[in-house]
Amino acid sequence: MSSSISSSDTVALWRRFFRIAAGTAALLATVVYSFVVLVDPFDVLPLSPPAERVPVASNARFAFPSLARSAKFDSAIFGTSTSRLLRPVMLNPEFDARFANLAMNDSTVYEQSRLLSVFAQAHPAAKVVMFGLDIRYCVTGDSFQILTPRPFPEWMYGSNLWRGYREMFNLYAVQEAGQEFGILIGIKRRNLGLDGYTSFVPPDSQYDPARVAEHLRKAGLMIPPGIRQGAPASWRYPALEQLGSDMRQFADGTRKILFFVPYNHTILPPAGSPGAQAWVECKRRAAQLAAQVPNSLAVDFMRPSPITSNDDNYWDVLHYRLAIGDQIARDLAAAARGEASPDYRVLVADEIESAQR
Amino acid sequence: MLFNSQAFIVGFLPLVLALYYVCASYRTARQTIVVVASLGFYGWWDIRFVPLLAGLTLGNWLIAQWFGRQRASWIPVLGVVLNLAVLGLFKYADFFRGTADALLGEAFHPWQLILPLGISFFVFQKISYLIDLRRGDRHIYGFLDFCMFVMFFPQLIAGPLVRHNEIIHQFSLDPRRPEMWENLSRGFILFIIGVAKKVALADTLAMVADPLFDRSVTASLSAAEAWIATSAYTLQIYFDFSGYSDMAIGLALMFGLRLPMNFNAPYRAVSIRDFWRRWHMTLSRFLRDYLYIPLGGNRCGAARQAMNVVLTMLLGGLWHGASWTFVAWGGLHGVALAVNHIWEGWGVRLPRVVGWALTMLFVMACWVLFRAADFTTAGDILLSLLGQHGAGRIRLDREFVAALVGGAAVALLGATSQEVALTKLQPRPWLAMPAGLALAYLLLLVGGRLPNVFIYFQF
Repeated sequence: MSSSISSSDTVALWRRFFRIAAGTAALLATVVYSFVVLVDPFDVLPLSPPAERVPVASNARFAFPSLARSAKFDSAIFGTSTSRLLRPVMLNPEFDARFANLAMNDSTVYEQSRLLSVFAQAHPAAKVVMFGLDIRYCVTGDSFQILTPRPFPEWMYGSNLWRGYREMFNLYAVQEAGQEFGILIGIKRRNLGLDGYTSFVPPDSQYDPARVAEHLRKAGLMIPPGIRQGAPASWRYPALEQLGSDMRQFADGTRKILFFVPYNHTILPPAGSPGAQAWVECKRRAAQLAAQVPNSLAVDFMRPSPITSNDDNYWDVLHYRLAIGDQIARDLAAAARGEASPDYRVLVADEIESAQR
Repeated sequence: MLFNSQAFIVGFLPLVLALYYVCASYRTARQTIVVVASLGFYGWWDIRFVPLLAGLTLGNWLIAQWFGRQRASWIPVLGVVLNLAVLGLFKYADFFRGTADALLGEAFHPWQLILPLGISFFVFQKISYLIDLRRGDRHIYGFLDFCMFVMFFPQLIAGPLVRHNEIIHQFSLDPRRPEMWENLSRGFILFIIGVAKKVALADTLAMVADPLFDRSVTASLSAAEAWIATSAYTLQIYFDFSGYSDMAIGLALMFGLRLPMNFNAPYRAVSIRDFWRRWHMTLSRFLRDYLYIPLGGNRCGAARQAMNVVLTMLLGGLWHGASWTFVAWGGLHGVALAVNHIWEGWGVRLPRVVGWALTMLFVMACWVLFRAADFTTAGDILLSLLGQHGAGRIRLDREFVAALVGGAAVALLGATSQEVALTKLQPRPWLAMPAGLALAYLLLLVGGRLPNVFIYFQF
């Protein structure tokens, strides 16, 4: 570094250098930030210009809060990837409702609960809400998993959306803004449905039974984790406790349907085993919950049935084929009408209790 | 507030710099701005830390004033004891209690005192000043000078460990002197290089190293995983720390102040002595001047010298963290330094490549101990490195491989960041624009990365 007094030329050169460097950074940052907040890829900012925005975020945790607030829907499905393949277009005529599929891949109960709260605030008197229950709802002990390694934008789920202006300067927001902008001006295609539904399984034409059989063969039993000591009635199911509070956010007139998702038969623990006992007790608690919360119903697809026993209905042990998704949508409507089917059974706590004895 | 955060780069730094240069002609005003900003910077982490920093600064200044009047040699000693007591209480109380409980076979109930950020740095800084006073240094500083010396935010949290006689005399220099634009430019570039080292290299490497080290607690790693974890961590810790030092030195230069160099391409060292002349240089200097030399240094027999160096490094290890693994890490380096002294005393010289390879292997093996959760895990990883748990395979994404290869190249080849920014950089506009673009990109990266495309459906 020069320690002598610089000549005026040198001073001018360094001044220009600093101004160009700092100015370039400031200008570029301003341009990029302005682009992102104007496009508003997650459709959540209070001052974003009006536009027909569509869900674009590859991480549904970013895309769904705006759908949950949207007045276009009066009903919603919550859950994980095991509920993602239910098509709102199938459910809408069955329930005479306008469904959004807000099930998020690999979401925790906490994440689902936060999204549900956003939906409940915007739609306190929703028509129908459905909850796809899987292993995450049957964890025993005192707590359940809060987040996954995937980013969860907590600010989008709060009431102060102005905070979003602090969250828009990052590579992910830029990428999604580019995607949204491309769709808005018609040079890119949507990859997420306007009602939240998106198929993540390959087209049926690529279905390979041998490959599926290989997946099924490798799978282990699905047993709810957690501490279980003493009689089943003394076990705690914290996620179901949370679900109970969540369901009560809706008006009595809202139809609430809990359904245990149809896992493939290969991963269900054998009847009478400790693992099966954890599931049975979980289902009994869900049935109790449905009995306690007005206008609620608990339906069990996680049982030996024409759906779960036929391996050709599955891509892997958790994810069924699209036609099965449509079948489940029809079954859910039939269950709500009180009809019986070999695909499911309506859960009644007393019946489960007497079966346990 | 982190240096590599948007709040710091876009908000705090421009505001404080602007105020500093507006008041540049008024020394008291500009120094007050820096001190207030530094307290704000420190309080941003946790407001509870501020009273300790402020109180300790005031206490040390009063002790120095007292010594200035009385000139009694026990006064600085009292100050050193006070500083060590504070450090011991906040950083080591649980460590010593846990060790005592373990020896007595009793259950450990930690006090869990909050650990004020950077306490090891600012306590050592004060200790060095007090020892210098006791050794005859006549500098008794005004309150504002002393506050700015201790609290100056670029070096407050993680150094470099600046000595009073390296920086306080610079406070009188007018920041708007003719080198102002050069200082701003060079400081700006060094800061950007530091952010890049931290965000683009260290954080990327950590995304692979951290999960592997975490997993090593419950399961043995394969040789491939252990080598990747160790190599990644070796580079991660270097770019993390040297990146921070670059940011600190660059920031200080933007305020017209020069801080001492802290890293000088340590992974190019050809012996362990060479390594410690290049790694965390201001700490090495502190340990040498205030511990090793007072213990007798090399002015005694070979055995005593070896003991001095091992003892110095054991304490240096403990300074890094309140854990026996850090102490052992320091001890191993101490033994290696002692062996290196003896080796050199015999006049043995290894070919440079062999010396470099042996040094790197030793440093990497020691980093395993430094990073692992405990001795058992460290031992298991070392066994994995030797292939005891099978060769194994590991899948790496391109971003990580680029950081690993690019990082190794930066660490081993070419000019150092400080040579680039402080010596080689010329005020060419075609260099300025990419630097600005790089900062804008790094700001975006700091805000959040693109999530890895996580393939969890295996259809």
